[in-house]
Amino acid sequence: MTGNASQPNNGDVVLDVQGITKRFGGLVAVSEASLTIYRGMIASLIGPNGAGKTTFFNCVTGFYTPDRGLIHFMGSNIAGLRPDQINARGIARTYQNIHLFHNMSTLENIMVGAHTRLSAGPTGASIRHPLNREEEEATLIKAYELLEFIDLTGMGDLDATNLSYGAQRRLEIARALASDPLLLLLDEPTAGMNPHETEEMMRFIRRLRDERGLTIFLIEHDMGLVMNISDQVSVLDYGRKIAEGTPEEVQRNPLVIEAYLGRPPEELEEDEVATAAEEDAS
Amino acid sequence: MIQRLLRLHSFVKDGLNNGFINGFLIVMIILIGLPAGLERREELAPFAIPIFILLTLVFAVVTVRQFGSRATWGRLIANGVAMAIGTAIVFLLFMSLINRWQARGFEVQDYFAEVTLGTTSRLSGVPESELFPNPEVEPISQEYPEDAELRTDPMILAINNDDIVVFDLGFIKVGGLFGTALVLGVIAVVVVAGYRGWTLIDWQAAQAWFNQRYATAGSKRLLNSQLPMAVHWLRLIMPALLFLLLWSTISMNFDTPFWEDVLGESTIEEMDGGRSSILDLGEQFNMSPRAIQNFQLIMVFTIVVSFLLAGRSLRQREYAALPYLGRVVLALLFPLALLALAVWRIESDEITFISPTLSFAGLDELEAVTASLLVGYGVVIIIAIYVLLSLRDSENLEATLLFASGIPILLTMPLFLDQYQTSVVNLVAIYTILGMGLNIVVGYAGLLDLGHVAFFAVGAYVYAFIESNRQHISAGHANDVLFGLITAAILAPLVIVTATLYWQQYHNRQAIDRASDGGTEYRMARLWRDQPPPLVTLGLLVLAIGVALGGWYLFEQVGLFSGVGRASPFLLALVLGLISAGFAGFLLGFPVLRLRGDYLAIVTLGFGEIISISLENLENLTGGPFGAQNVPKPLPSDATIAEANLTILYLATIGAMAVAFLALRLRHARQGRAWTALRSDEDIAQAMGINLVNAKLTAFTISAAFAGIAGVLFAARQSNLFPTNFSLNISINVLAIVIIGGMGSVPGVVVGSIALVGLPEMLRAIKDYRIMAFGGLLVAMMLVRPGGLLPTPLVSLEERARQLHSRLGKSPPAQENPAASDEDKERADDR
Ligand SMILES: Nc1ncnc2c1ncn2[C@@H]1O[C@H](COP(=O)(O)OP(=O)(O)OP(=O)(O)O)[C@@H](O)[C@H]1O
Ligand SMILES: [Mg+2]
Repeated sequence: MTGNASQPNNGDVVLDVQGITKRFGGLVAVSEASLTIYRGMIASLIGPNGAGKTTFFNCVTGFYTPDRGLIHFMGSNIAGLRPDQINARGIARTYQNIHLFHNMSTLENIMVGAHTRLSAGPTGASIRHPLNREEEEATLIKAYELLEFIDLTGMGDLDATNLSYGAQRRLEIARALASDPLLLLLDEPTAGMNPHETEEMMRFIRRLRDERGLTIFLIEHDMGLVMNISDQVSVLDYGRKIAEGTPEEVQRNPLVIEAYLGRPPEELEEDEVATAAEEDAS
Repeated sequence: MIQRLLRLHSFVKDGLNNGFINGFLIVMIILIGLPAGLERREELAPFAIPIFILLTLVFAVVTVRQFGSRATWGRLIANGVAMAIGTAIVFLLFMSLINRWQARGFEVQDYFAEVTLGTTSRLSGVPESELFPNPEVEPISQEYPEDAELRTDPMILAINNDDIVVFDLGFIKVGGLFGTALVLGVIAVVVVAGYRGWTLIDWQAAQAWFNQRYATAGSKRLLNSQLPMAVHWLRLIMPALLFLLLWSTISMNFDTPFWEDVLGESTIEEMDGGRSSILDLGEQFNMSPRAIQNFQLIMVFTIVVSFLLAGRSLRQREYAALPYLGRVVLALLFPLALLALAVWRIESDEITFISPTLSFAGLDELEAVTASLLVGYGVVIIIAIYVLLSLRDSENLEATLLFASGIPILLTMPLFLDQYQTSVVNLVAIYTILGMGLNIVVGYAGLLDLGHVAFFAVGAYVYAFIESNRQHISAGHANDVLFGLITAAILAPLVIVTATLYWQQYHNRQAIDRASDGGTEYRMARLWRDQPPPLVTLGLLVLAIGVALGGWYLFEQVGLFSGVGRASPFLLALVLGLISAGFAGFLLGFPVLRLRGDYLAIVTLGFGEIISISLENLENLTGGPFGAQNVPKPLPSDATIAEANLTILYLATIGAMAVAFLALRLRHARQGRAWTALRSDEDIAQAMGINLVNAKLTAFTISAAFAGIAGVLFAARQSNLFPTNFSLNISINVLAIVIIGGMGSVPGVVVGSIALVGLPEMLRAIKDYRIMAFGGLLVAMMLVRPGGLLPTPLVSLEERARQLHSRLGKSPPAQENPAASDEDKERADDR
């Protein structure tokens, strides 16, 4: 458990979601969910399968426009903006199922991530304007540094989709980092990993925050990881936020236990419940 | 026993399978091709056999490649033999079937109704004299009439038979169907073993062994550096060697003062009209004039392909042992030799590609020959400057050598082509430009566009419109002024843009010099962001207008505007065609922004149809179904057709090179990466910050502008344009070029147009058969190389990135996690 971030004040609010609702026909995937994330935090979003976590992420990154509610990022409302505009504002994400660009090398995948931070257009590229070349070289250097950061040097020229699973996950993060985000959204970064890899990923996420000063918001089913690294945990169930707080608070919350186990909390001792919840999730 | 057979089968099954596919393809070609109403039937067989051989070779290579690193000699040879056997089995089955039918009086001839006996005989391996049905059997005894002439055994192995294709190897004659199969099999085995065998040899061990036994210090170095390098260098100079071969078949004019001095008058008089070639294909190889033309065309295409392949094998390697001067001399050897050849050709045969008489700023009536020579010298001077500059770094030697030989070869070759060859190469170049355009939308960005022909048509009709109007409005000078001003208006922004960009470069470099401290601060360029101060802008404006007016004056002087009907404002048409087609592409881009896949294809298809229907119905603009007729060539009206064709070929070749160059640059820039990401996954690309509207519109606009260039060149080549020239077929052909060449691959487009436009064009003599060959090629291609003929390799950047990174003064990282990395590498290798 990391120490809590120093008492946040309002100037440090990175993401402020106010009562968003997203419906798919009759199904309310996210309902009146609110959430605030402060700078430098590692915040987690948990909940049973189908609770609406990914939908929540999709609303924040512009894949879906919420039917109701506001999403403030760095003080301005981004609900309704296109995904590329939101990316340019400084939110980058990874996906529950890995989505790397095929036909592109590992290094190129990272370079695509830097798209919004570059300005060269087709004209400049055609005449290979010196400024353009400089920009291109700077991007290459930056991409290479990210390649080093994720320990994939020597594999920059391979087809990204041929990398090992763990490497692909890290590469997806590096691609997101290439856009110099302020807020990084990770959708189940350890899905499908063994305990050893999960452990490594956890350290990696910490490094992201500590070395790069990022604010991180992640969805996770691995309770061990969530409880270990989060500063704040929010719990969704049937699209509604049912609890929020430090890992300890959430673990003790009867609503959360009910959501995960589906029966009244009186029947079990408290710590048993916590372990059961962990197992259920993994 | 069965166990053994099974094991053997699993060992050779790849070869066997490929043999079966190959055999079936050949049978399909025979079945589809034979009855295809051939006008010149006798020409069929000679064409068919090379196609079969080609197919067999292709499958042999495929067989070899299937093994990759698992290859062993035993595996290779066993599978090669299996492939030959597989091919032969299918062959035998098919032909014996035909023979049996024939023998039963099944009138196979009906099926092959249009094919002569000779052709059937050549293909089937059955002598002509035996290609008839057996007589009817007697109904009661079920026996043939006693004195009836009966067919011989249909399973005859036709070796040593004069009626059929015979490979005369000197000591043995092999021929007929089965004989051919045998030869194919042998070729396959040789190819199979040789191809991979080369890579199987452990050169280092061989060297070590050799050194240990024989080598002195000197020869050791020779061996080390040259054994594998020899092959590499052979690839690099292959275009030049092939060009020499091509040139040696061309008859040159020796009846000039220079050669009289060198050879003596009598030698020249002995020649046929003072002309001679080193290789006289007609006399020495008994080839018909048509065959010679086609042979030379194939050589031209081979040279282009070998140039592309050499470009792929380029490596950055230090050649520090060779001094600067030596490198320069080496690199200038080819261009100078080529210049000499070109000068000889231009002077002695008066082959020119510039208008016959033109006056240029005071130089009165510069003769066409002189002007052409001047252009030649100019090109060589430019190349020399490039060589001098780029060779300062010895790492560039290979690339410099290739480009300094390849580009002059491409530019010299047209001088040696006759009219028929010129027109074929021309078409290939135009389709290459079209393909480059479509490649951007389909290959790079993955947007299926079936309406590409629309932009082609726009370009062509813009040219026709401008040209014909010039002809009609014979008011003379008023128009020249108008066209001149339009040209000036086009030039001015170009100058402003370029100058602004360079001002920014200068300005920003200073800023960067001040800011850079080698830290982590990246030098992010801000193109277009810092505007120059007003005074500079004003200066640029004045400069631009000056340059534009100067350009106008220049064009006027060269004869591009002077006097209606003399010269055509080709440049103007080119720029306007490019812009209008680009604009059309931009317009098409809007409605299809939200469409994907099949829907996109349908809408673009509709767009293509709209344009072609408009061509028929907007009679005032396009001439309706009667088309735009007598479209002038981009030369003064006193130029001959040959000159005009040559000029257009030059324009098309240079156009194709320029477009290819742009396409390559775009691919390796931010824009190209955005397109590739878009092709991979649209949603994810958008989430990565790529503006889809922007990316798609840019793709459509650039692609359409390229097609516009192709259209203008096409209209300049054709003297009449009809709406039927712009049918859906063109779109589909171009799409096929992109797919066959390899989606997103620039050299692939060139190879694709050669394969799908150049080769069929040469097979025109046997009309319908070419469609079949075309179909066969497509099928074989898709089976054999689903990625296209020359698919794009992944972009390799890491080495360069590492260099740049270390140049920034940061130490290379220690490998922190070697175990994981090795594992990753293995996984990647396995796939
Ligand atoms: N595009 C869509 N159209 C219709 N329904 C959707 C769509 N996307 C999500 N849903 C539904 O919304 C609900 C929430 O889905 P979501 O993917 O957000 O859950 P989740 O919390 O991420 O679950 P998991 O832990 O399995 O990833 C589910 O019932 C899902 O079926
Ligand atoms: Mg989810």
